[in-house]
Amino acid sequence: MIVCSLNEIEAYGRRAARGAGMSWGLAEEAGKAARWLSARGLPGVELLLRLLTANDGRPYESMAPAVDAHRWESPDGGLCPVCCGAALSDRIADLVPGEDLVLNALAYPLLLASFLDHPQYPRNGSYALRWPDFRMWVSAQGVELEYEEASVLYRERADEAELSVDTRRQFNPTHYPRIAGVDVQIPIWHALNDLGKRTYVPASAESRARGAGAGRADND
Amino acid sequence: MGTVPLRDPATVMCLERMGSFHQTRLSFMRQLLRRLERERWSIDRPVWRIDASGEGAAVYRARGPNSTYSLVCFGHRLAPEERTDRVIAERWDATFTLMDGEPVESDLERLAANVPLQEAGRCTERELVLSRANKSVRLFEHVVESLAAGAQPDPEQIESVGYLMRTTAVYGNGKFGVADRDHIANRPEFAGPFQAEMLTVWLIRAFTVDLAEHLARAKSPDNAVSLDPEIRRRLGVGNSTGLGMAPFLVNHPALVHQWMLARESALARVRSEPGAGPAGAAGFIEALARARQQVDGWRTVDERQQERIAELGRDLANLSARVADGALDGQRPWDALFAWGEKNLSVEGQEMLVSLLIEPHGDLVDDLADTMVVDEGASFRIDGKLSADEMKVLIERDYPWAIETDFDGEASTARFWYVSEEKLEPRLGERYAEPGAELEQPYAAGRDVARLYRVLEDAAADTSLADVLLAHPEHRHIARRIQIVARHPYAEIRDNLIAADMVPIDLLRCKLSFFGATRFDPRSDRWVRITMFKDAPFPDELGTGSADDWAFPPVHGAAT
Repeated sequence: MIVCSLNEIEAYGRRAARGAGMSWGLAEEAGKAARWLSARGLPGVELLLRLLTANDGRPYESMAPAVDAHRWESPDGGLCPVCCGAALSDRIADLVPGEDLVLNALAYPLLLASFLDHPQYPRNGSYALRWPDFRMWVSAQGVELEYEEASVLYRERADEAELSVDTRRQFNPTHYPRIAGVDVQIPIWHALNDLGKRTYVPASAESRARGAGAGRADND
Repeated sequence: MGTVPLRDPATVMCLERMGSFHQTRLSFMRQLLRRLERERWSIDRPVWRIDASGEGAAVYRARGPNSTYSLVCFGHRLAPEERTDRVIAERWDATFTLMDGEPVESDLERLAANVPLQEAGRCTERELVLSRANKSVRLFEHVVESLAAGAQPDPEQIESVGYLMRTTAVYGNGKFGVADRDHIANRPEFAGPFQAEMLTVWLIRAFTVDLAEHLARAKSPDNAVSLDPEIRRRLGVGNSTGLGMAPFLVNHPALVHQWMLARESALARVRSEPGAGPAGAAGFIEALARARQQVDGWRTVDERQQERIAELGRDLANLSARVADGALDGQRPWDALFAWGEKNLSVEGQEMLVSLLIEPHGDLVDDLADTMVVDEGASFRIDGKLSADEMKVLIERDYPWAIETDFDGEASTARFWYVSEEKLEPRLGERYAEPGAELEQPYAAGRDVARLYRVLEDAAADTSLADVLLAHPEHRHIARRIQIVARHPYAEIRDNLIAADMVPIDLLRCKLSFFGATRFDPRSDRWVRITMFKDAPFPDELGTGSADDWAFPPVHGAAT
């Protein structure tokens, strides 16, 4: 295990997502999602790594949602939770009580959760996210999870992930954000870093000749 | 008379001006030392296990009203060929960490196994800052030799270098496992920007002098003397800053806005004062005299900066003459003087005038220091309900310079920012001469705004931004930025950061001036040497009322 700071998780997550082909703006969302889950004791780093590995090389168009009022799906296989989360976050005001939304074939659905933590929404109650064996409620006040087996958190795909606004139920947050280092398995951390390294530019004869960042001798 | 408005962001936020900033009383080093004195912090050195060669460990302990912090220092012996300031270095003359609380033996063992390795080691959230420093070999040896011989070092040599050691990195905020900033941001002493980092550097300064005195005594136990406190004051901590720091100002737009807003608000408050008042006038005249002496002693090898320093010297002479002619009499004299400066001074001179106007007005402006922070997460979400037309209006208001730039030309896209695999640091490449532009970092806000603007022009006026971004995820980063800038007018650098004639050290200078650095000494267009805490009190001088009387150091020989 390695203990990672939340800033490291966000930065490495962002870099890895970019390395795996996301646009910078989506990569920022991916880094935030990993951080948000990690801060709540949930496996953000591992899920992001699995997602990026699974979707490596897939074009955006194949995993982004075709947005419809009540059902989102991708034209070509599973939905990406970061692409969906970003689209959802941009339209969060549209998600109102009684207007449930189903996401078809959503990959690593837990990664969608952070996009429901919005400072102004919902106006009443909390957002509810569910798939078989798992229910979760999210608001700016905290997070409540209901599940039996921890393996459900790592669910590779939810055939139908349901999103709704829950205004009736008593909300009892179980997970609060902590600002503390997070244990990450070393192979996972290294694999995430390996994806991030794809964003680095190797030295070239030209860059060496130009000295890149160098100046005169720095001893005195 | 109403209050004087803030300066237009379009005036303030261009690189030429940002690269001409000087420290002010809102600078982070000055915030720190004011607090340490006000709250009567006590500093001591409970551990000193440095041998006669300079190797070993030392601990400096800083105790405040609520918390205790410890700078844990490791001294190392270095072969000359191992001493490099570049980020690829693997060994340094000294390595440091600022620790939360006080270390016990097991902590010191753990830190001894990690801190000397820097990036290759691992810290924990009990550590707040990680840093390292290299000697100015020339000055360090001269000081040790002199003290060992029972003499004081040559003040000329002290003045020409300005430091015994220079830090080559000061890492905080979660880097390499240290505590996230959020972990300490609710403590009053670290609520302000970079306060843990500034405390680290200030304590490092004390270590560098203690180390030199220790080595002199080890060399010559019978003859060695301590450094004269007057000479000691002239030593700061050097710092080499390269392109690694440049992206910070781009990556933290809302925070940069708060820094700029505080400085501009301070200026506007002073300009709005109806009269100068005897204390204000005397304080300004004193600060101006000190600034002139400081500029006289400002040395650099950089020809562009040499010319600017010479011009600044002439500017300050003109300013003095203007003041002697009665510029501080009459209504709103500060505003009149500032208006005169805008017409008659170089940009470097105008920004020095900003610092000087703010200087004697602590009662009026010091509270603004508390506003130089922001919750960056609060501006992360994109408002997707905005229409294409509404986004265009924001762009036309905040980015006219970007949509007017021709980004089809090679000169306007000559560079690209990237992270070097070899150095693991941001670098600037030549787009049309080097490979790697497809791995560009997103620091070309102007070009990217112009690209999004074209997409918005092609979209139906009432298309939602949410729909635009769903179809064009490549514009998500810049759309977020445009919305942040819309709420934070000083957030954006209103210049093209990939232009052929962009000067990267302008970015560094701006940030370092907010730290409170002086004696900017550019070593190329992409790295700069500075001194931190030069002329500031040492820990044993806290409580003597001098904690904030050093940034413009007293005129030599003058009674103060």
